[in-house]
Amino acid sequence: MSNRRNIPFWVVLTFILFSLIGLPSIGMTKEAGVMKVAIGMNPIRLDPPNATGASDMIINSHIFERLVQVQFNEKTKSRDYIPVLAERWQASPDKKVWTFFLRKGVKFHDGTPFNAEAVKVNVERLIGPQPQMMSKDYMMLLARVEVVDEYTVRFHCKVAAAPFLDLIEQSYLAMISPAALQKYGKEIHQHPVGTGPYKFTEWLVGQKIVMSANKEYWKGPPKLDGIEILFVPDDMARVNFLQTGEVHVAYNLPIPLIDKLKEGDKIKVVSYPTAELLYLILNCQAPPTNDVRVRQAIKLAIDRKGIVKSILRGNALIGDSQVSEFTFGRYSADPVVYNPKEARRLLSEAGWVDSDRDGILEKDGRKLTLNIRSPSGRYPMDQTVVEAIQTQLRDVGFEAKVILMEFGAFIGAIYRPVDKATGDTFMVSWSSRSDAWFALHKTAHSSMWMPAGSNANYYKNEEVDSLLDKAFIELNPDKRWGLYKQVQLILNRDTPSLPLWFMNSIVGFRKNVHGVTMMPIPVSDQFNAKDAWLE
Amino acid sequence: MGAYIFRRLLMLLPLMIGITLVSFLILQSVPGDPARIIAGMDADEEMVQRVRHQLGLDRSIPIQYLNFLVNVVRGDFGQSIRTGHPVVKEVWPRFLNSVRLAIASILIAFLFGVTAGVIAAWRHNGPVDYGVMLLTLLGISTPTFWSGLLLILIFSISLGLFPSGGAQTWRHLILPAVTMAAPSAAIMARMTRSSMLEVLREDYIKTAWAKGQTEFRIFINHALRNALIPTVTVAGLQFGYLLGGAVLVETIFNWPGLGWLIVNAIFSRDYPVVQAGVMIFAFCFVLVNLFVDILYTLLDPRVSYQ
Amino acid sequence: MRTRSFPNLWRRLCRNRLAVTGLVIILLVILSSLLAPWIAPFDPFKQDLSLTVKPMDRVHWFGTDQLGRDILSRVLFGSRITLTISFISVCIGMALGSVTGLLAGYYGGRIDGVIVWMTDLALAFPGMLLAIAVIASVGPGMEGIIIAAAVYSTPQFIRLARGIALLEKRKEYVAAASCIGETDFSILFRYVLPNCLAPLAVLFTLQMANIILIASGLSFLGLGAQPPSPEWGAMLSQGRTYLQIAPHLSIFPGIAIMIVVLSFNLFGDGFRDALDPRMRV
Repeated sequence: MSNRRNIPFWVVLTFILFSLIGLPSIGMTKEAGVMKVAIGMNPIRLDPPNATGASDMIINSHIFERLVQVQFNEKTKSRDYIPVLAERWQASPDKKVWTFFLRKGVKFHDGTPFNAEAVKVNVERLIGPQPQMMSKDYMMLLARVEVVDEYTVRFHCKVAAAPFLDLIEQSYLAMISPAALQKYGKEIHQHPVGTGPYKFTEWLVGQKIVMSANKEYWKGPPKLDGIEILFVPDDMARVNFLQTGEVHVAYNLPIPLIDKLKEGDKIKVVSYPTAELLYLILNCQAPPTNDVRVRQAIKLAIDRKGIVKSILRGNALIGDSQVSEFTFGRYSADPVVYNPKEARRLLSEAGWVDSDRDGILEKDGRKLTLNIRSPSGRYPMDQTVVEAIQTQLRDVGFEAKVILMEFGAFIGAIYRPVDKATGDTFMVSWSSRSDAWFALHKTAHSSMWMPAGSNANYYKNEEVDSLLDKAFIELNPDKRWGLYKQVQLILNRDTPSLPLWFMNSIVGFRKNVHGVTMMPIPVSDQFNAKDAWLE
Repeated sequence: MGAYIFRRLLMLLPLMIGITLVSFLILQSVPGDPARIIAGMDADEEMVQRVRHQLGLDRSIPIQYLNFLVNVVRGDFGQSIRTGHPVVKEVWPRFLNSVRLAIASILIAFLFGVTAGVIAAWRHNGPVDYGVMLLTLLGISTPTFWSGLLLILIFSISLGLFPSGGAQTWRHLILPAVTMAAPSAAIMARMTRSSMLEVLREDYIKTAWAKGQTEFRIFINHALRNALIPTVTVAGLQFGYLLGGAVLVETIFNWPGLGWLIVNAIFSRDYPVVQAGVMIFAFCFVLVNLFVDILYTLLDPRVSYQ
Repeated sequence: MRTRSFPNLWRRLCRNRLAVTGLVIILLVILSSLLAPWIAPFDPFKQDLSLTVKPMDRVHWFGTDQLGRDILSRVLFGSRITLTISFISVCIGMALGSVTGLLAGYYGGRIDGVIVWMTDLALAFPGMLLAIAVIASVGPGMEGIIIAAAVYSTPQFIRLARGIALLEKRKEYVAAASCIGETDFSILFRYVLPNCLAPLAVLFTLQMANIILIASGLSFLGLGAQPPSPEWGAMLSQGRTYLQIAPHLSIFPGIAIMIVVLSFNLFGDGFRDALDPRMRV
């Protein structure tokens, strides 16, 4: 008979209480006037010249400002250039020298003044001896920048570039406080200091970024006390937080749940078109995609309209060109045809036959293999879409394999020089900017081969190169459009990459959120809460 | 007593070292160049070399391991590749969340498991006994990632009683804890039942009967007390499993625990985080086992700790 | 030197109703997975974009998934993947584990010490985490899961075999055999191993149950079979998005997993009881 007792219950009880109350959890502050936004992608760098991810750019657009900003005008379907930190500007007759007259009385969040010297520091950071990620275009364009007086700055260009303003307005040239650059050095991407309506307060890594209102904003203080951007990678969690009201806005909602969420009157769901194109990179130097007929066969084998209709439920615009319909210079070159029979015919014309009757085509003893690498959970329905594509390719004889990768590894696999490339196909996205030159040059010009640029197709066509070079300095808009049209026709024929569709931004708002705008151009304004307020 | 504990800890030393070795080897076994992974894709060769030297990756492997060991003892697990922040800062709060969930689960499991086991032993060989046995079989056969979804479907979506994700309030704790508790409760029910059946056969029980004690007293005071000893040890072992095996439940319920962090870190190649997380779990498990062992010797007078 | 006779064992097994039920279900599952190409109503890979996420009806008994594929057919074909992966892994685990364990237990000494250390080390990591760590090194996919699952199950076999070897080696018949000049190897194989077979078989069955859970868990996390493979765990994971509007995408694969695992547990339990009648009164 045991004389010892078991663990007394009161010990157990205190343990329970301690564990449930004592340990902190990842909490969410409840503050009136602070808008909480749940996004799916973790921001990495809040340093404008190095911020290429959509989430980084969106956050930055609330903290930083540019000299000039482009805005898509829905009524006229054109692009307006809005003065922001520059009140006005003028170009020299030969368009090689641009003078910007800066807004006076603007201060950075750390109190230092915004002036021509600050602009010079920022520009030189881009074109100077230590290049940033997006420096290449600016180095190609700008020779030097000159401070004329405290509020006048002059850009001296190497060439008279047609898309000059578009380059200057890009978020990469947002103005950072020179004092902050001095102070933080390499850590500047964790301590963003700009001139915008919200200042950076705190970054709880992996959890959230907190911004508070900039009461001294030159346009007047914003209506909210602050904005919290919460990093919630799981789709269902974002939906859940929106439904319970723990967040006011949820970005990138899963498409199948749109209708369900619209039920009831607490939530408003907006599906807004963007200029972000999802496309397949086809390696033009490695077999089998180095044969243009194979690439065209791929294009014909994939039912883009069907996928947009049944999987994306119409929440996308068909990709009939690399260039979005919000961008200057677009020409719809691709009739977007789904014709698997024609695809098979092209493949057999290219020498691919099914000799062993297993459904897979072969040539010279090699199988028609295509590895499709795709990130998972980054784009709407990406996993489902890539499976659909895989099956459609298999139906015409490809041995298509899907390799789902985490985004970091995915980027690592793309950013390689041509001799180290995997030869695989990648499903990736790129946003058109305000001028077609960006989309076309970046993805089709031979000087932009990875890892120097974004041309992961390793496509080289001298005609396209010269057309684009000409377009860069063609100041007449009609002539320029003509050059872009020619390029898009050639690209449709050669298909170095296969545009799939322009993805909609699907955002859920609680009914008490007002004032958020969503613009396809510029990219950073896909989600604009600068004038937002909560009821 | 203290000397016994110390001796046991000493015996664990080779195991602890082994754990650090395995964690160290994780980074080495990864395909690709760890320095390049850490430096990032946009880094040029010079930067990669700098990182390599900084992290000591250009030294020989044994020296790297010694460095690693020294750092671990100092509590320095390096920086997370993805965020650049110290790994400890990321790992520690998540670990506490995992512990919280594990504690809640084990308590629920203990409560339900022991009760069910006692009832089954009491109504031995009857329909209740078979019913409980069947339930326990279901408990250990149902995948937690599925039962979790079912619970969400019923209690969160249809009935709206509990939230389906996050970790803010105690309500968020219930569904994931119940999901995780089910298999453990099943195991503990079986353990309780079989050890009670064993105890009930002992002579002193017959003596108690003969002395005229009520059935209830016999069951609870005599049988259960002794039967609980192995059950408590099983509970301790289960706690160790619950800590590390909660990955699936954490994923489904978006419970910000360490298991989920480790899986994400594997996906994003954030190996310092993987190393730290795996080590913490293993250490915990080993220490919990030790604790349970000591507890057992304390509770069971037949086992001496000499 | 058989200490248990097979006819007795078989008789005890048959009398255990739960074990028989388990065995019957296992055989049914194996049968349906073998016959899947003939009994499945649709091609599990054939997608139909006009019929995505349709509820259960007379044509599609289990409904269709997000690409319009028939769920019933996918569940049937999924059983092949699950059973194959688990069977191979547990076989590897048993082969490696029992040999290692027997040798360690029988010879003892330093080899034994090292093997015990490694086994304890492997068991110090929570099962799922160990499997995940293995996949992190090896890479996702079928091969990865098999290796991870084998790594997970080997230590259990080592422990069991070693325990039995330790027990058996003290018995008289072993001393007698070595007296008359039998080699160690021969003793191990002719006498010790047969005594292990029954407990090893029980462990095999129970490990099958565990491995199926682990393997589908790994696939659920995306670390396992790649699309368009109809693996149950992966199907469950993909169905999660639709839980609110079409729960049947996740429910059916989950039921399948549960039934298979339950059957192995039932049979394993009954098998163990038949071996060791002391526990069942």
